[in-house]
Amino acid sequence: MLSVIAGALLFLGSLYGGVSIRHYYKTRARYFEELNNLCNLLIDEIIHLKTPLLKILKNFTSMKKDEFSKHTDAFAELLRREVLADRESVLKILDCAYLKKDERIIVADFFMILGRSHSDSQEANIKHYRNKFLEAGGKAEEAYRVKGNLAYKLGILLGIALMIIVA
Amino acid sequence: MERILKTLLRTGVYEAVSGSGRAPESLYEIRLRTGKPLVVCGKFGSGIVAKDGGLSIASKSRSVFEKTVSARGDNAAQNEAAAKNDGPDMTAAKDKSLTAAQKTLGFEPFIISAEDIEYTLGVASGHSVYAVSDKLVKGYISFCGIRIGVSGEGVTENGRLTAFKNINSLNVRIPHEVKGCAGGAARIVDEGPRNILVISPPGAGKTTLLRELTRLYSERAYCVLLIDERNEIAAVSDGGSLLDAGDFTDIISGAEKRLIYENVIRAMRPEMIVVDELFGRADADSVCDIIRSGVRVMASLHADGLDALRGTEFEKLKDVFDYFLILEKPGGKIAVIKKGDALF
Repeated sequence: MLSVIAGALLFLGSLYGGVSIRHYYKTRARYFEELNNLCNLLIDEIIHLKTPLLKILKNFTSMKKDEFSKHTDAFAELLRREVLADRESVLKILDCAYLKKDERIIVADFFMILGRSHSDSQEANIKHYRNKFLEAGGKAEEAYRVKGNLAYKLGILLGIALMIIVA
Repeated sequence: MERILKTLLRTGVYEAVSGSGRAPESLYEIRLRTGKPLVVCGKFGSGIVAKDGGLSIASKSRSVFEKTVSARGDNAAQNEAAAKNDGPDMTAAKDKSLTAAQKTLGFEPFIISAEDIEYTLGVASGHSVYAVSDKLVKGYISFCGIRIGVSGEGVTENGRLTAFKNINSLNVRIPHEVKGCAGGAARIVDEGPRNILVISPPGAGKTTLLRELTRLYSERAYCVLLIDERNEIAAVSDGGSLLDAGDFTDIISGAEKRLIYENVIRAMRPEMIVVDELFGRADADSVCDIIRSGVRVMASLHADGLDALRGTEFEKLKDVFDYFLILEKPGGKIAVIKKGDALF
């Protein structure tokens, strides 16, 4: 009986590991997808409607609870609180397991340019970063499909294997 | 106004401006220039603000800053200096280790950094410089009724100024409501709506007088339409007016006056239109058109007296306006000239 319970626990542990790894890749892919969505929204709102930045960010994150929306909300709060958001403070906001160090720097630089110049310059800068995010997002999506799903399947297989061995 | 200035200025700048118990809202202008001393202008003239909040008043006649020194906290000396200069308290830092700036000025001034400018610009634009770029091109932005003059490197395209970059200088102009400042000009209001042109060089109080006359007309139940292009007459913020322009006054703020004249005259049916700071032939032509349409106009114009209009696009205004109010300095006497007077 004890061995059955131990086998089941090992299976669940292994499954959890697989699910976690897949979640990591999925969150990364979703993060860059949302970044790309924000870039598109910013281009529309800034060029055509000249909507204030904080309003755009608020509209973007309303009803969302994903990792990128949390970062966006934290950045908006930083702007409201300190007005001059320095790079270090923005990098601190972006401190998470889902972004690599160089990606954090790029995202921080992207946030830093928002609202600081006239619309032509904003459009050019946002498009420049959007291209970077599209490229990174493509890689993250690929990693999710290949590595994430592989880790999930391996987690299940390893769990079954461990359960059989123990039981 | 204190709350607005506290929001608009970086903490260090606000503390320096309000140093020695000075009320920042009593000032006329706060000038921020990157790498240069913080300068404030008020009833006393212009003054450089010391790091500790003290102030030294400019003596233009000698092209040096006359030190009005008193140790901070020395009330008798401060009051004496204030009385001498007819202005707020003035102190200057006493520091034995003199820097280059100190050697020239006799005290260490508060130096404005690029971050101070960026902070104010960020707040005033709502972190959205792109949203105020149209105004920036015209050399100003507005924040809660405060007009902020801007200068930096202009970007031109096909001979047109399209943007400002590297903004290095801001002039925060604090609006003042002085009820009763119209003096002798107030009697014109008793005659009913008239075409009135307020003339003075910059900084003499045109806008303050215009606001007061608008309020007086409004008090007498005349329908006044205030076209507050630079949002400094009524200081509209979040739909509400921070300064009193009267209960019978409709306010359109932040829009270019030439773009709204025609539709507004039809839709709002005002008895009088009030506009600030006419500039260029197009403004002069528009005002003449409105007056021809039967609506009275009260406007202001930058000029050094009526003679300065001779030979300019504004000369024709002499024929259409009924009264000319000439201001020489803030709080000074208002010269009222009626069309057809001997002086005219």
